[in-house]
Amino acid sequence: MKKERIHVKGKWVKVALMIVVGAFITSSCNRDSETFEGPDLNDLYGEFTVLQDFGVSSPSIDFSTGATVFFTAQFSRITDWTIRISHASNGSVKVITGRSRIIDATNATWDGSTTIFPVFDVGSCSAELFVDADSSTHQASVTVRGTLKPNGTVISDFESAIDPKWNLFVQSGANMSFRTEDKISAPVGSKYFDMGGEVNWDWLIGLFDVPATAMGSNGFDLTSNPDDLYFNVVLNRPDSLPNGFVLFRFSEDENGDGNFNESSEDQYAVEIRDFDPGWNIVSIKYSDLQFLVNGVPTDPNGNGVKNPDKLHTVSCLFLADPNSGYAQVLMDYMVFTTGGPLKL
Amino acid sequence: MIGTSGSISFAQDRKVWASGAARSVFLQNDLDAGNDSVTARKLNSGHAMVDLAVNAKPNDQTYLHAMVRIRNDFGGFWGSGITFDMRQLYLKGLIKDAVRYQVGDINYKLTPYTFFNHSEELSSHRAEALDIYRDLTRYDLFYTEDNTWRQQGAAVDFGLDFPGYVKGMEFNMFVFRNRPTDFGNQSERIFFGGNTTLQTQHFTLGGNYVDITDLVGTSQNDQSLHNPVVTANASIEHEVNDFQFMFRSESGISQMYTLNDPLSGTLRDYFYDAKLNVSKGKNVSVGVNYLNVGADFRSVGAQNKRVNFEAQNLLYTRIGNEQVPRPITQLDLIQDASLYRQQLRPGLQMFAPQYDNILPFGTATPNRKGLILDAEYTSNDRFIQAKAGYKMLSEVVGQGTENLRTFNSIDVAVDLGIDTLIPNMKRTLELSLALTTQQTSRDAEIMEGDIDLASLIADIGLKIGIIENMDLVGNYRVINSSGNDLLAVRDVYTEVVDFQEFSTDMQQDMLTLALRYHFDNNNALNAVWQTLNFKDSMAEVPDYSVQQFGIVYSMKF
Repeated sequence: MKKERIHVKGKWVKVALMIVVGAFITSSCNRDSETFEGPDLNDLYGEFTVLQDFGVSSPSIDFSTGATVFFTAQFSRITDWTIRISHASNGSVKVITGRSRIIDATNATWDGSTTIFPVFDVGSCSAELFVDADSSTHQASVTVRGTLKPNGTVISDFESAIDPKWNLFVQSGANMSFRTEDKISAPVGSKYFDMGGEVNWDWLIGLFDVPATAMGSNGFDLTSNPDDLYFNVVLNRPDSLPNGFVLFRFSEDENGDGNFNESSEDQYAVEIRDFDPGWNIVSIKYSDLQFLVNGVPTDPNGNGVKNPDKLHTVSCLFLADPNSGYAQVLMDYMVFTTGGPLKL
Repeated sequence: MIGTSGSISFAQDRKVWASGAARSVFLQNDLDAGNDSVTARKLNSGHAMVDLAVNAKPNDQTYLHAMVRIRNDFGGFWGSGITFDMRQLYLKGLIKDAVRYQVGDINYKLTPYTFFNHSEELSSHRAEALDIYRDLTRYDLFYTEDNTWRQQGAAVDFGLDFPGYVKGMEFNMFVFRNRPTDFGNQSERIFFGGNTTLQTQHFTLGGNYVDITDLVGTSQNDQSLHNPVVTANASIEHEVNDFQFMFRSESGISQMYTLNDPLSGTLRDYFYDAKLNVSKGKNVSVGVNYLNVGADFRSVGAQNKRVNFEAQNLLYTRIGNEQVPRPITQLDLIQDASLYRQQLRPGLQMFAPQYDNILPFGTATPNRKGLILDAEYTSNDRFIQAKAGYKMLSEVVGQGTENLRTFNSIDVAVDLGIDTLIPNMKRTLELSLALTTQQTSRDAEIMEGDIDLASLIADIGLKIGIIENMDLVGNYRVINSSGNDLLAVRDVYTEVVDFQEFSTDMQQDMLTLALRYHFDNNNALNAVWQTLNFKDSMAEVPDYSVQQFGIVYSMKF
């Protein structure tokens, strides 16, 4: 296929084209007058001294109003540091880590949230700064006058018995629990949901379904943006029982007929296993959920688009290898949040 | 500028015909990693593969090409090891005998600063013994000698002819789908642009534009990356007596920013690159080149690296009793296609300073300025072909300090056709030598900022004709690298946010011997033996050696 050229006559066309090209070539260029890229090497490798002592922006704070407190310190160069805030009596701990030369509101703000549960209660707290560069520790104190009030659509805080509108199924195995308990400290309130038992013929130990109708007339009333929605739950695995795991399923009513049809509508899921012993906040962005068949991601049966605003049912399945013996996972504070994961 | 795939035959007089390529590879590997009692020492692998293309030319203006790949990994039974893939599919043609178009899979490039597939590390030293596997890898990845990128989309070009001094203008335009949407957080991303070239009898002027952008509305994410690059290039040729003078230059500006991202700033910078080349006949050529590429110059199409140095080798991925990831070596670079990229990605990717610290992103490497000198000599009797180059570069701005790194590199390559010296010599006897040294240095105010990194790559190659169509080819390559550098750690906006200490004391050498039998120009059988020795006292990986024997049969039809 031989290509021919298009023949153009007229001197003005050539002149105009040359002017355009010439103007472009001679256009001026400016370079930003930065002296170097990246952080100053003196900030990374220079001699280390503490320029400003460890301090706190306010000696007391009421987190229930949305207020925050921040810690301050300044060093001669960048270093790794850790701030550990401990409640004087209930054992709750908040850990903030960073790598910087300056500790301030941008990197050391505490909003009342907790790293090691239970959640912070009112009372005095001690803050300890550990500086990696010289292995020094520094102290400060802050008093909590009001605790953090978490936002979101709470499915359950398990402070009362299971809602009768939920569908609860428990296998007839040995030592089955599936009830609210208060035997150990709960991360939120005083009670949690205890899922335990031994079922030696099936992976499923028990399950519960939370239908949208149990949430009220507006159902779950969630955003339509799966990238802005997080499903959160606080789970606790006993140290000696690593065998149990939890499968959450999210069934969508895509056609709005009030039902979920497994063969023609999407059901997304997430398996939560191998988490650390003790209470852990588990947060999953709705857009990260997948359709799972026997734990393997597969194409969903519906429109393939995640529609949290059409959520029909949230299901929780507690599973364990039938040959692994007794399994147990504790659960508390199941909630949807927007804008970010749950903070407690 | 649309490239062509090397394997495709083109028949003007047939309406439908078949073409393609086939190969069979069998490899045996033997690892010796000292007291490693975990890694399986011996590996066998292989595959047979055929790329079968249907070509159709329904009329003089239209050409269709569709190629499927059938691959059978040795050891798969009852079809379990067989895969079928669509390798490439495109349609191209002419509209009104003037406008050329292509849709589907397209090999494309513009200029080294806008859209260009810069060659990978260690590829400047060519050796026939190393090309046996290298050619297979490049064929799989659609890497061609003309530095095009394989993309999917549409391209169109046409030319205008003028009577008189200005001979004409060429126009090229393209749009490629860089990334599909996931309907959630990831928007559809396209890469588009074009150029126009004005040609006269003595000089050429060109304007080039490329941009990558996310199409807002194709997902629920309203952020949109942009990286527009605008350049102008010019070349002038003039002849005085027996000397040919050629001046060429390219200069331009770039921006990189993300709309609707409050954390994104705008990176803005420029570059210029000018070269004067003087040659006498076809024997001697000397060039001097000055370039200045700003630290914030970003060009997605020109700064993508072929090699993904964050990937792991397929062969002996982890070795040693601690199962440490095995670093990418010269053996992996020539034969492991999984280490290479085909999709353009924004950002400056990880590179390997021990292999190339001077221009790791090709001539479009940001934050470089200085001189590049080169010379070339070819004797009339083709006894000797020699190339030499010297790069004397530095940073434009420092990293973490106002003190600049300096980069110096020497390249020398000599090919000797010894058979031309021997009367009545009918068999090939060729010797090739190549040497590259690199030195990166910086003196900073504080000791931790001092940089001293040196690398040496040396090759000696041989080709001996044994009988008609059968050659013995060999190559021995040594790579040594020692010293330290502070590598820039960049955020998602490609701005430097930290530095990572890099130290190496690497020594690796590889001997390759191969017996080649050419059935014809497109059909060869090779028996290849290689041994690689690697050690790096600064790395966690133990000293080791790998021996490899391979049978490689390849053909194109």
